[in-house]
Amino acid sequence: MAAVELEAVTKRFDNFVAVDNIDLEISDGEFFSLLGPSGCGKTTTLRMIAGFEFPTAGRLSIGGREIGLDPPNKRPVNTVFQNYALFPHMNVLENVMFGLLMQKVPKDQARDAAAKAINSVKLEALLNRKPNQLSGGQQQRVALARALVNEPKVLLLDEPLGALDLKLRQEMQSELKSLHSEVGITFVYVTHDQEEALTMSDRIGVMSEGKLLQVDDPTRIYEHPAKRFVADFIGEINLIEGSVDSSGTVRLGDEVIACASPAPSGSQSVTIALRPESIDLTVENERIGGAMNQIPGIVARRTYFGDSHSYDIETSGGTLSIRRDNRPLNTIFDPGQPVTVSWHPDASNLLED
Amino acid sequence: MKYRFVAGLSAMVIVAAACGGGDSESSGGAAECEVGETDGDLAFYNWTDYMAPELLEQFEEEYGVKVEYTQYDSNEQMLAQVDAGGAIYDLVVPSDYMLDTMIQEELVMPLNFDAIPNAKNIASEWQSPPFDPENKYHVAYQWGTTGIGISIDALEAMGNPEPTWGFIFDPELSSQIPGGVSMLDDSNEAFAAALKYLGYSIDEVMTSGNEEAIREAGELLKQTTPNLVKFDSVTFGDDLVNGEVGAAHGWSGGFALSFLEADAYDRDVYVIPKEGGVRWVDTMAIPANAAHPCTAHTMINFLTDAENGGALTNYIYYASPNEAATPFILPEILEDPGIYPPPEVMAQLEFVPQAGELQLLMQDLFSEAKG
Amino acid sequence: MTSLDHAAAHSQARKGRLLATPAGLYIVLFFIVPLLIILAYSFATRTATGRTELSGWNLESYDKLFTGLVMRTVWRSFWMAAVTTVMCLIVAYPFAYYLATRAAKVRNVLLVLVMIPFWTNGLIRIFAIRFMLGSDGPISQASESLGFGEFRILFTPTAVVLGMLYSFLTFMILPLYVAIERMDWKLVEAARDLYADGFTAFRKVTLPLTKSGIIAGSILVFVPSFGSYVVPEILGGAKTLLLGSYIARQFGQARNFPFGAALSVVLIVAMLIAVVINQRTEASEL
Repeated sequence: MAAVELEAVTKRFDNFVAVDNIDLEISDGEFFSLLGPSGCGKTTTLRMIAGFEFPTAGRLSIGGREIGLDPPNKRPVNTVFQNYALFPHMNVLENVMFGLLMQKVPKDQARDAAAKAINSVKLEALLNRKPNQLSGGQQQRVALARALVNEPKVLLLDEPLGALDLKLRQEMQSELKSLHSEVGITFVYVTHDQEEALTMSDRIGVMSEGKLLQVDDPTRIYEHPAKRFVADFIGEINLIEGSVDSSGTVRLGDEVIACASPAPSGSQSVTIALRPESIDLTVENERIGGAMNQIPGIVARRTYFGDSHSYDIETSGGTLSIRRDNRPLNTIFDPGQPVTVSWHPDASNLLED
Repeated sequence: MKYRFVAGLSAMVIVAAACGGGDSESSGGAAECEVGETDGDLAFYNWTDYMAPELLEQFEEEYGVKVEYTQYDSNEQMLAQVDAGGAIYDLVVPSDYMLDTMIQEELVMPLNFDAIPNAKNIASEWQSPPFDPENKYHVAYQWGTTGIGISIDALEAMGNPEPTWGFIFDPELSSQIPGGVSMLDDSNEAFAAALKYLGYSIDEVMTSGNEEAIREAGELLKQTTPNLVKFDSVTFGDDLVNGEVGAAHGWSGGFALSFLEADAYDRDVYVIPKEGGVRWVDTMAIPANAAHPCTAHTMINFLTDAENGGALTNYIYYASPNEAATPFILPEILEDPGIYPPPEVMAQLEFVPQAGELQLLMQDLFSEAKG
Repeated sequence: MTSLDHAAAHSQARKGRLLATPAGLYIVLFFIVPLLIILAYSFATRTATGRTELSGWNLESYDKLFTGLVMRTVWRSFWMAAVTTVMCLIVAYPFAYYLATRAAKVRNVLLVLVMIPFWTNGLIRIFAIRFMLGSDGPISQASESLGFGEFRILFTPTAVVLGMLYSFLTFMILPLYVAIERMDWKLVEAARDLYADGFTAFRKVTLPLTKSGIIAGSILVFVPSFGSYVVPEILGGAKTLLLGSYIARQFGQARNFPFGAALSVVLIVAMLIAVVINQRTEASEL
C-alpha cells in the first residue's frame, strides 16, 4: 500500500506555480528522497504532505486516506525541520514530550516514551538542557527524537543535515539510514545534495521548476538519467549531440554508436549522456573485444587529481571528459597523443530535454 | 477669574522653577515714581483671556514702551513663577487669597499711590478688603462671584425653588436635575459652598480656625461626591450650555462667557444661592523684585482710568470695581444680575480668606471626599 | 550571548565611552539632577502659607504616606493601571499579530496608521475622546436614535480606562509587533505538526515566545497609566482620585511640595523595583 500518494497535485502561489501537476506514490517503509535545486518545489511538496500548505489542485492521500485539507495536527506524519525548530523555551525532555502530550497521552507514559526516544538518540545526559545549550548535532538528534517518539506513519525530513558541517553530516547520514531500517517508518527526505540522496534513499524523485522529472532508484537515476536536467544535476557527465538517420542509426560525428535505448522515431538529433568514469581509454587502434562503442580521438588536456586523472579528448563528435583511476598498470596518456575511446552501449543514454 | 486650566503642567513648571532657589527679596519701601513715569518695558503677567488687546496697544503708544504680555491659568502657577524668580515680572494679577499669601511671603511691594491717582476710582466697597486691610499692596482689577449655573429646564423640574446650595448638596433636589451636577475642582470653593450650605460664615470659620466646621463640611462633601457628575474648574460653563450637566458650581465670569458664546441666555441662568455665596476679586500688584516698578504703576493707573476700565469690562465681561467706569460699561453687562448681583445678594457674599493651617486639612478632606 | 560576545560588548563599551559623554551629560542633567531635587524636596519643610523651606530636613512627608487616603489612592491607581494594561494587551495582541503577519507593503501602511495619532497632541486626542463619549457625542446620539436612551460613561472610571487604553495602546502594539514579527514561524508549524491545534499552538508556543513583547508592552502601558494625570482629570471628571492627580494637586492648590515630592519618590521607586524584578526574572530565564 502506498504510504503517500499524490495525484495530479499542483500548488500555485499567486501567479507562481511552485508544484506543477505531480503524480507520485511512495511505498510503505520506503526511504524516499525529493532531490532538486532550491526553488524546484521539493519543499513545497513536503509542506503539502505535512499540511502546512494545501494543494491548489489534485489529490493527496496518506496511508490510503485522502487528507487534502486536514490541518497538520490531524495527519499521521511528523516533520524534522530545517534548522530543527526546537522550542527554545522548553528543555529537551519537554520538546520530545510535546507531541505525546498534545495527543493526550498521560504524562507519565509520555515521559517514559520521551526518555526512551532520547536514549535512542544518545542524549539521555542532556534531558534538562535548553536547545540553545546544545550543539547542532545534538539539536538534530532532539528533532529526530521529537518526531519519531510519535511513531508517525511517515517521517518528513526537510534538509535536516543542511546546517551541519561535512563530517557530522556524513555521520548523521549513516545514522539516519540505520534509524530508518530500525523503525521501519516511511521517510520522505528533501535535499538538494545529490550525494545525500544517492547514499541514503531507496528511491529518488528529481524535481525542477515544479515538475517531477524522474522517479527511480539511485542507480538508475545516476546511470540512466531520463532527462537532460537529471543527468546534468547529478554528478559529472558528458552531454554531446548525436545525429540520427532515417533508419534510426545514431552517429557521434562520423562514428556509428550503439546506445542503451533506441532513438525516438522521427528525431534527427539526440543528446547522448556519458559519465566520465564509464569511458575507457586505450592507445590508438587498440581494439577491445565485446560489443563496445569505439571511436578515435586525441588527448587535448590532462589534469591530475591524486586518485585519478581527468582527460579532455577531442573526437569528431566533440570533446569528451574522461576520468581514469590511477592504478599501477594503467597507462598515462599525454596531450597530443591519439587514442581510442570506448564504452559499453548501456552507458550511453539518450536524453529527452 | 480663577482656575482657567488644570495645573498639571504648572506642577512641573513649579518643580523646575523652584529649583532656581529664589529666596524672595524682602520688600522695601514704595517705589519713587511720578505719575505717568516709565522706567522701561513692562513685563505683564496676567490670567488667560483677561485683557482687551487694544488697551495694551494704546498704552504702548501713549507711553512709548513695549508690553511683554504673558498669561497664566492659575494663581499657583503665577505664584511659582514669581516666587522662583525664574522670570522677572513687573505686574501680576493675583486673586484675593493669593495676594494675602504673597503679602505674607513678602513677594509684592507696597504701592506708591501718589503715582496712581486713578485709584480713587475704585468703589469704597472694594477698598480695604480683608486680604489687604490697609490697602497698601493692590488696586482691584475685576471681580466676580461663585454660584450655580443651572438650566431653566432643571429649575422647572424642581418647581422653580429659590436658588440654594441644596441644588448640589441636597440629594432630593440634585437628583431631580436632569444631567446631574458638577462641582468646582477647588478645595477652597468646595468648602466655601459646603460651609455656606451648613449655615457657617466662611470668614469666621477660617479666621477662627474652626476645625470642627471644616470636618463637618468635609463629611458633607464626601456624602455628596457620589451624586456628582464630575469635579471641574475649567469647562463648567461649556458643560452646562452643552447639556453635559444640568447644573454646575462655578464662577460668574465663566458662565457669562459660555452663555454669550453659546447664546444660551434663554436656556441657562447663573444664580447665587439664598444662603449666600462667595465673591472674589483679582488685584493688580507689583512683585517685590520687579525691574520696572514705575512703568507698572503707570499701567495700574492707566487701567484704573474710567474710560479704560469700561473698555476692559466691555471686552472680558467681568464686573468692574471701578466706580468711575460705570458710565462707560455696556448696559447689558450692568443689567446682568449674573455679573452685577443686586445689593441684597451682594450683602450676603463673602471672600474666602487665606486658610493658613486649615488649608492642608481642607486639601486632605477634599481628596478624601473624592477618593 | 556567549561569554565571548560579552567580552566583545564590553570592550566595545569602553571604546564608546567617549562618544557617550553627551548622552551621559544629558542623562545627568535632565534625569539624575531633577530626581535628586525631588528627593531633596521630599525631606523639606512646608510653612503655614505653603512655602517650601529647604531646611529643617524631616520625614514628615513620608509619615503621611501611610494614611488610608494615600493607600486607597495608590491601590485604586494600581487597579486602574492594571485593568488598562490587561485591556491594552487584549486589544493590541490580535492587532499586532495581524500586523506582523501581513505582507511587508501592507504592514508598513498599517504601521504608519498606528503611528499617525501620535503626531497629534495627546491632550487634543483626549478631548476628542471626551467629545465622543459625551452625552451629545456621536455614540450617545446613535444610542438615543436607536432607542437605547442616553449613553453615559463620560466622567466614570470606565471612561478613564477607555481613555488610557486609547492613549497608551500604541505602546503595547509596537513591542508586541516586534516580538511577534521576529518570532520563528517554523516553531508554530512544529507545534501544529506535533498535534497541537491552532489555539494550543498559540498558547504553548506563540504566547511564551512573545513574552518579552508582552512584558515590555505591559511596562510601557502600566507605568504611564499608574501615574496618569490628564486622562483621569478630563475623562474621569476628577471624581476618581488617582495618584497622578493627587501628586499634581500637592504642587498646585495644596502647595505642599514636600509631600508631593515624597509621593513622587515612592512612585518612582515602585516603578524601578517592578522594572528591575522583571529584568532579573528575564535574565534568569535565559
